[in-house]
Amino acid sequence: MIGNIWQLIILNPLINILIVLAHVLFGNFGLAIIVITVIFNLLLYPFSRRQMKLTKAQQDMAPKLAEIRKKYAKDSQKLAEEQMKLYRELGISPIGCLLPMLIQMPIWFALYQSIMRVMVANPEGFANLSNYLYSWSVVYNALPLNSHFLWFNLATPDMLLALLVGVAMWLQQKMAAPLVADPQTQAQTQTMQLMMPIMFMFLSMTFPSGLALYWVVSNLFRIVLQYFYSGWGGLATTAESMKKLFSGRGKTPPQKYIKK
Amino acid sequence: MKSKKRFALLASLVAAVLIIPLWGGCARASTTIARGWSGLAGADGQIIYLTTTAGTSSGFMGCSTSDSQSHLIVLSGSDGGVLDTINFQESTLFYSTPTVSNGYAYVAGYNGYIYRINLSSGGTPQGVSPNKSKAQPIIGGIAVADGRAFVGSVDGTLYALDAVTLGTLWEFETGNEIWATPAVTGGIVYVGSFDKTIYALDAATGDRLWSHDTQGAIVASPVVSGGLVYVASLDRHIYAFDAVNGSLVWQFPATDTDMPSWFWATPALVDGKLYAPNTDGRIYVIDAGSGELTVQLTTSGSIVSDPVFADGRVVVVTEEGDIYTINTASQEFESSPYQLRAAGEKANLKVRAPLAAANGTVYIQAIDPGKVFEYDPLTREAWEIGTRTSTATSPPTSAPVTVTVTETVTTTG
Repeated sequence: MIGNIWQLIILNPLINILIVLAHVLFGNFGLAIIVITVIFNLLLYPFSRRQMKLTKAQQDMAPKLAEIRKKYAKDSQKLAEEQMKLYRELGISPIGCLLPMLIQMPIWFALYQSIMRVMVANPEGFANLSNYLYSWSVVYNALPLNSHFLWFNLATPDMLLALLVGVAMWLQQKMAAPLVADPQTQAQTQTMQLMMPIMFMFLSMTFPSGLALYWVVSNLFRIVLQYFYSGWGGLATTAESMKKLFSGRGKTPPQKYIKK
Repeated sequence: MKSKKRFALLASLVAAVLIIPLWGGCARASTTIARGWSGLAGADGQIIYLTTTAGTSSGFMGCSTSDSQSHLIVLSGSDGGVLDTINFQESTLFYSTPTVSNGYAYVAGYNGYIYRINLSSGGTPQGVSPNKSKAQPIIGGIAVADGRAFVGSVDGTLYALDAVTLGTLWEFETGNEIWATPAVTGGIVYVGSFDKTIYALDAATGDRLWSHDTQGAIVASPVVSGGLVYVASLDRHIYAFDAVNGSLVWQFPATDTDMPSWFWATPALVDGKLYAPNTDGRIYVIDAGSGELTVQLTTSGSIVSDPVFADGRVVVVTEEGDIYTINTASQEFESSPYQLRAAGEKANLKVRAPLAAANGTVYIQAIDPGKVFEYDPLTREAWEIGTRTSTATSPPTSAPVTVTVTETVTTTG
C-alpha cells in the first residue's frame, strides 16, 4: 500500500521527468542526471543551509563543551545537565541537527530509485520500466535512453567515477566537519570521514555509474555551497597539517583559513 | 593509545573494503534480478527449453554464489518426461528461445555466445561469439534458413552465420541494440532494432533492401505473411509494411489508454487477424489486411510473452500467469482465465517467455518459480510439465467473458 503510494506520487513523476529531461537535453541522460541533481540541491538549499548553520554552531561551542566534560568528568548526571544547558543557551537542539537530514533523505532516496529504474542494467529492468511510464508520446519516443556519457556507460559501474565519488565525498566531509577538541571524538570523526567515502566508493563500483554521477554532482554542489558558507573548513587544517608533516614542522592546526 | 586507535581505524577500513562490496552487490542485485526468459521449442515429438538453475550454496549475507548451471532440457512431447539434459560448460542466462533445424538446436546466450547442439548425440555445447573483438549479450533468438543462421546482438549488429560452422558470412550494423529475433522469408531477412527502425536485408549478401522508421524501439520479431511485414513497436503502434519495397500499408495506434502501453510481444497472425497483446493488459485483434481494429479484449494485467495458436484457439498469458483462451472464430475469450497463481504457485510468478505449442498443447515457462507448465486449450487446465496432475483449484467455467468492442480505428495508407 505504502509502496503503491510512493510509486504513484513520487517515483512515477520523477522517472517520467527524468526521461523527458533527457529527451530535451539532446537525448543525453547524463546531462539529465546533472540537471535534476542541481535542481534538487537548489530546492533543498534552505535545509542544507540550516544544517551547515547548526554544524557551525556546534563547532563554536566545541571548546565550551570540552571544558564542561573536563569539569564534570566524574559526574555523568551533572555533565548531561550542563551539556543540555549549554545547548539551550546557544539555541541548539541535538535532534534539530538531524531534522534537515531526515527531510532530505526521502528525496535523495526517490532520486536514487528513479535513476536505478531508468538506467537499466538488464532486460528485466527495461521490461519493468513500462510500469512506471506515463502515456505521454514524448516518453515513448525518448526510450531507450542513450547510456553513454563522457567516457563511461551510465548503466554499468565505472572505476574512475567511483574514485571521484570517494574523493568528492571526502573533500565535502572534511570541509563540513566541526572542529573537535576532544582527541577521542576527533579520532572517531576522522574514522567516519574516511569510512563514508570509502563505503560510497565501493558502492559506486557495483552500481550503475548513473548513480555515481549523481553522487559526484551532489558532492560538488555541496562543496561549492560549503565554501561560500564556511570556507575550506577542516580541509584547510588537513592541508596545513599535511604540509607541516612533510616539511617536518609542528602539528598545530591553523585557524586562519576558516571563514568566520 | 595511539597505536590502538590506528589499529581500530585500519580494522574498520579492512572491514569496509571486504563487507561493503558484498552488500553493495546484493543491494544492486535486489533491484532488478536478471533471470532470463527463454521460451520453448517443439520439433519431432520433442519439446526443448533452456534453463539456468541457481547454485545450491548460499553466499555471504544472503547473496547467492555464482555456481549456477545452464541446461538444455529435452522433453517427450507425449508425456512431458525428461529425455535428455545437456549441460553447458559455462553458466549463462537465456532470453532467446532455441530454434530447431535439421536435428540441431541453435541457442543464443546472454553471455554473447551462440551454440549449435546436436539433439541426438548431445555432448557439451561449444559456444562461438559472433563479435570477434568482445562477446556482447544476445537477447533475441536465432533464425535459421537456407544454410544460414541470423542473430542480432546488443552491439547493434545483425550477424549472418554459416548454419554449420557458425562462421560469420556478413554483418549489418544498426544504430542501436538488437533484441528482436529476425524473421527470414523469400531470401529477405527482417529485423527490428532499438534504433526504432525495421530493416529488410538481402539474406545472401546483407545488403539493405529497405528500412523504415517507427517512433519507438522494436523488441518484437517481425511477422511476415501475404506480402506484408507486421511490426509491433514500443511506440504503441502496429505497422504493416510492403515486404518487397517497404512502403507503409497501414499503422494501428493503441494510444487511447492512460495505462503503460508497449507492444512488446510478437503478435500472432491467425485467419487474417493479428492478435497483438500489449503491456496495457489488452489484446488488440486487428484485421491484417486493413489494419482496422476488430475487437479489443481486456485481461487482468501486462502481457509481454508472445501468444500462440493451438487447437483453433489463441492462447495469451499475462505476466502474472493468468491464461486466456481466445476463440478465433468469435474473437472472444472462451472462459474466465486459468490462474497459475491461484493454483498454488508463488505470488511473484512471472511469465515473460514466448509461449510454444505442439500437438495441441501449449507450453509456458514461468521465470519464477522456474517451472514449465502444459496447458490444454480444450479443457483449459494446466499442469506442471511431466506431472499430468491438474493444479486447478476449481474447474474452469465455460461462461464467456464480456468482450469490449471499441470503435473502428482510422488507419493510414
